[in-house]
Amino acid sequence: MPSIPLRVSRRASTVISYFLSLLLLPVLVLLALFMPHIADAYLRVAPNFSGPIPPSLWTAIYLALAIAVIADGALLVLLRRVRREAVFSAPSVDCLRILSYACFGETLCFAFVGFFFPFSFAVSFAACFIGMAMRVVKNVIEEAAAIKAENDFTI
Amino acid sequence: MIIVNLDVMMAKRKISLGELADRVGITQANLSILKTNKAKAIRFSTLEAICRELDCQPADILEYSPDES
Repeated sequence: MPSIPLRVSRRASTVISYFLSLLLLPVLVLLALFMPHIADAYLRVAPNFSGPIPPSLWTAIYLALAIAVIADGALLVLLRRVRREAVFSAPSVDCLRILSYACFGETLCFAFVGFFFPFSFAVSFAACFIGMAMRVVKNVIEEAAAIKAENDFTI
Repeated sequence: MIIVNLDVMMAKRKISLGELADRVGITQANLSILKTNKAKAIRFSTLEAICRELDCQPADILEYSPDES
């Protein structure tokens, strides 16, 4: 079987994921700060949308950004646990639960935005699918944590 | 539930936790987990080693008690 190019070690992969997640935080903060300018630029080219953005839409947009920050925080905590080799544990399951709830939160936010910009319905569907996948991953890790606890307390 | 009466047998044989752990070949931490009824399972090899070192039967250190929940 030919070797896969650009394959990194487990540790390097975790470090890369950690720094990418860490980099996402300031990006989200900058998005929040410059959202009015980004919205103005988008509205100039957006078809079938005229007039100012209503407050409810601004609320949905900033709520989506806040949820993204919470999700990124959960990712960082989870990746730190992976680096400490403590991934199969209750706190890691909690992080995955937060991530799945964040995805469902984004589903609702983008579904609301979809009434103004229909493309957002597709983003909402994708967020819902990812949220469901995260739920299953949470179930798997929860089971793994229970098996590990059983093994750890087998003398 | 299964109750581990290891401390009773250890007192009878006058052996400390550290010494028993060394003889059995497990860490003091693990033996302490067993002694304080926090263990979820015990390997036969560990039980055999404990019974050998304490010169006792499994029934001397393991006791069944119906759950009172």
